[in-house]
Amino acid sequence: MTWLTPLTGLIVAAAILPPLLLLYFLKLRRTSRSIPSTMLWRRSVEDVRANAPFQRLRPSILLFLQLLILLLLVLALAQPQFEGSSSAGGRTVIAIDNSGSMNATDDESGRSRLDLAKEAAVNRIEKLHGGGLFSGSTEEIMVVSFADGAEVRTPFTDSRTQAIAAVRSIDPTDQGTSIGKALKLARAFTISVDPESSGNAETMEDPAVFEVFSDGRISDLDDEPLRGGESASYTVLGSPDSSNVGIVTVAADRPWDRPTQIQVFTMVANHDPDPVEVDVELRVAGRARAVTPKPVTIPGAVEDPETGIWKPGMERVIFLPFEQPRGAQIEVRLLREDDLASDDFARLVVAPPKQLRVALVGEIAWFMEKLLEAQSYERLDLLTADQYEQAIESGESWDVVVCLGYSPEKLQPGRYLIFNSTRGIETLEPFGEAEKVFVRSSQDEHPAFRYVVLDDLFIWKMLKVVAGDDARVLSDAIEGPLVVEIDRAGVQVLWVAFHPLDSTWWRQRSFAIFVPNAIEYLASISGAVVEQGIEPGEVISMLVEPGASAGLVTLPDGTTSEASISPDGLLIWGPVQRAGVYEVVRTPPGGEPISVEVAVNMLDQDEGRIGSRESIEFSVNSVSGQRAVTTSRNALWPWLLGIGLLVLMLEWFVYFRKAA
Amino acid sequence: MSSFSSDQPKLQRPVRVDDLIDSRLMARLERLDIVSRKIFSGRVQGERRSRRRGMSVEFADYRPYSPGDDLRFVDWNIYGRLDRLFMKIFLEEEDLSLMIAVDTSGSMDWGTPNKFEYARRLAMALGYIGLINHNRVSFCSFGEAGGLQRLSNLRGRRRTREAGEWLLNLQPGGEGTFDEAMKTVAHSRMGRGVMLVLSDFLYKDGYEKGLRAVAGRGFDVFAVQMLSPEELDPGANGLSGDVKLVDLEDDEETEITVSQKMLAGYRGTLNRYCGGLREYCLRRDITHMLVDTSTDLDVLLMEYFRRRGLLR
Repeated sequence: MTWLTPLTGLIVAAAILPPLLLLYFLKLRRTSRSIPSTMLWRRSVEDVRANAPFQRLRPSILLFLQLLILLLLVLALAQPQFEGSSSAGGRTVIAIDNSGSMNATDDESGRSRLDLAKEAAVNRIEKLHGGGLFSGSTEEIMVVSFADGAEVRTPFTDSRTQAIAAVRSIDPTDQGTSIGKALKLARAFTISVDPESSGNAETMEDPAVFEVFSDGRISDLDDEPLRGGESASYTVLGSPDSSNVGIVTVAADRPWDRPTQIQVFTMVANHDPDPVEVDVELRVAGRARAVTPKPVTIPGAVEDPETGIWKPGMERVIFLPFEQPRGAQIEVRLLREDDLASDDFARLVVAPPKQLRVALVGEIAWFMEKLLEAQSYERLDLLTADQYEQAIESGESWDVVVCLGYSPEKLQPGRYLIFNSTRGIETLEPFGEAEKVFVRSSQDEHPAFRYVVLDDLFIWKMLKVVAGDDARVLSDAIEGPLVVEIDRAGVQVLWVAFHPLDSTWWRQRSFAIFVPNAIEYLASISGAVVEQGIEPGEVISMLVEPGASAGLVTLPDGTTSEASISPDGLLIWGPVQRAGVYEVVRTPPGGEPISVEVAVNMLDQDEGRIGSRESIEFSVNSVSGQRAVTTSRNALWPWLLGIGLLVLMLEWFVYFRKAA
Repeated sequence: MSSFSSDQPKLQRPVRVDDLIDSRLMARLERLDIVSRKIFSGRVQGERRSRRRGMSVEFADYRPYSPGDDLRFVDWNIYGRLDRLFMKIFLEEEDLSLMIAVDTSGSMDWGTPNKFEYARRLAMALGYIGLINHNRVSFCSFGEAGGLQRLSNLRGRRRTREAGEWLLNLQPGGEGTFDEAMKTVAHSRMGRGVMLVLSDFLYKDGYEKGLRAVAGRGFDVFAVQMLSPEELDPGANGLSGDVKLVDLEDDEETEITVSQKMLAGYRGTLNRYCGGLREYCLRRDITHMLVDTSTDLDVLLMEYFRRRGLLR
């Protein structure tokens, strides 16, 4: 039994009980009765007391009932509850995981983990604040949601209402899970200026308690130690035995020799130890086009005995090419129900077949010229640096620009394949050259490296660079990055650290595969070939006509949002929260509105594994989880009020009976 | 309906002598006579035998002869005419003074049945007994309304109506003047006799002086204390809650809250008060009789007063 608002109850009791007793102490309004003589009555002790300003409190059923009513009222105002609560004291950070795995509905009630987490968090806030109607508390609570990123829903506040509203404002996402940003955000709010320091603005850090509401599937726990003074608690949502089969890869392509057809590839992952069978359906423009002729058997997940890494069972599903000369929305769907529905489908938006416009700028090497000419591009321009810069100034544009031994001083928004030049690329910092280099690793799953084997590649000379945060290394050597993907402010670049002629690559088959792959990949980003789609947490960005207006994004749930368009023609919206198809409409200057669909798919393998963890392990701290208490505590005040009303009725009855 | 009730109906007061005493009661009272212990104490038998001795001054009445009567008092003239023996009764010989004092103070005009009306009916009944037995009957009333009023020396049955009308004219009200009235009566006594004081004896100044005044003057005093049922047991007769009690005589107010403990205290006080009156009377050879006004008058006269020696 706990009292949520004992102070309120005491104040009310102090305010109303003494007046009631005073009323009984004071002389009453009495009925006048004539009698022969008051002599005998005056001689009784009671008479003497009745004439005093205050009389002795006498036993009275009415007084007893009224005291009982007031006592029940006071008790109700004090809001007793069965379950005890204890305040953590100081500051508390409520961190709620709203990643994709939190959408799993493995609870018996059919509610999602996020809904249960929010309810548990609200209960926790009410506990910390007392949870009553009239309670006040000095407990400061900060609410943070975290998925791929983190968002402060409310900074530290002592308002229970504000904290609960912040929790309830958290929406589900299909993003991955990263707690590091949430911790950094929370820590930023725990630092305050020391009021004791005059002149020098010294900072001090108030320790905070992190209360994490999650299923424990957090990717960056190992990188995040708790600092001194910090403590954490973990409320587990979901079942550790939940099963899930999900799509982790989806791709569509138009065969180069049959551009009116589309072929769809997909990869299905099974996160359970046992194999499962699943039917996979292909839908085009909302209509079923094909289903796997027999259920696909997905092998069970296994744990790597050496590394301990959990590897889900994978199975690739390839649909035969089908005729689709026009653009279409492609959807791959698993015909199997499991605890997480978000990864049971994936969509792609395939544009109509379009011939690319490509420019080769800088050094016009014969092998590159021959290679590009062999591709069936709509247009291939061979330009020197000066010719290219003049063409840019005149407003010329290409789907992809291939730069050999050259790069523009300032990269205009666009797609570039650049060899052996760092000029104009701010995120790459050159620091010399390296010689006699072998490839150490490359990301074979990247579209540009599809069917590209670099084992025999030998490089005589390469540029050594340090790649910035917005650069993704696709292939590297011991001496440094070899191939880097850069996506920055409307500029997408695949950068190669060496000249093909400074290696054996130009005469290898992998080079002839890599260059068309890279051009096609870069073109796909612009939507020129196939919109590969993005994942939740990423930003929808596309180059639009400079001066275009009214960038309106229609979300999968039908709601709309306005996207910003920069003056140089870059439309940006996001980050995207949920999977689905987003329609982006823009209006070029003086033209008709143009609609572009962007598919967003939850393909994160980590999020697909939805079995909850019973404990979470920061890099040096392990926190055991406790199950969320989602049921509301048994508040007793309604019962007390009800009993009080009954007693009031009884008191009314007794009063009238006595009066009668 | 209790006198404590706020919506008590208006009291119907008697307007005729028949309202004070009806014929049925009169018939039953024919057989009764007043008894005085004090006056004839030790010589009652002798009195009965020597009733006519030395007292044949004033003829009063006849009565049938009974064996043993003195033949000297036989009226032979009557015997000659009627051939029946009648004894001549002379007043001086039978002279028994009966004084009936009725309290008309405000406190008497209360109760169910009303104490004042009960006292008037009782006075009428006792007076009638005295009159039919050829006693010298006197009435007096004491109260503020009319001061001391008297009706003296009534004899014989034919004075019944006069006595009744006098009683009907009494008006209750005001504070009692018991002491003064008793002193006046004592100083103006007209022979020895029986004195009946019909009162509730609720005098704030005390009853001692008044009783003392009449006790030593040759009266055989009967103090008939009349209390209503509401006074004897107020809790059982409707007194409850928080009330302000107003004295009928002096309007003095007393606020009480009725509780069992308080009622028990009142009963104790009442018992002590009545016990004190009884003890005081006993010490002065006064007969104290406590009468509940709910008692039927017939029962009171035929049983209670006979048992207590006032009537026979």
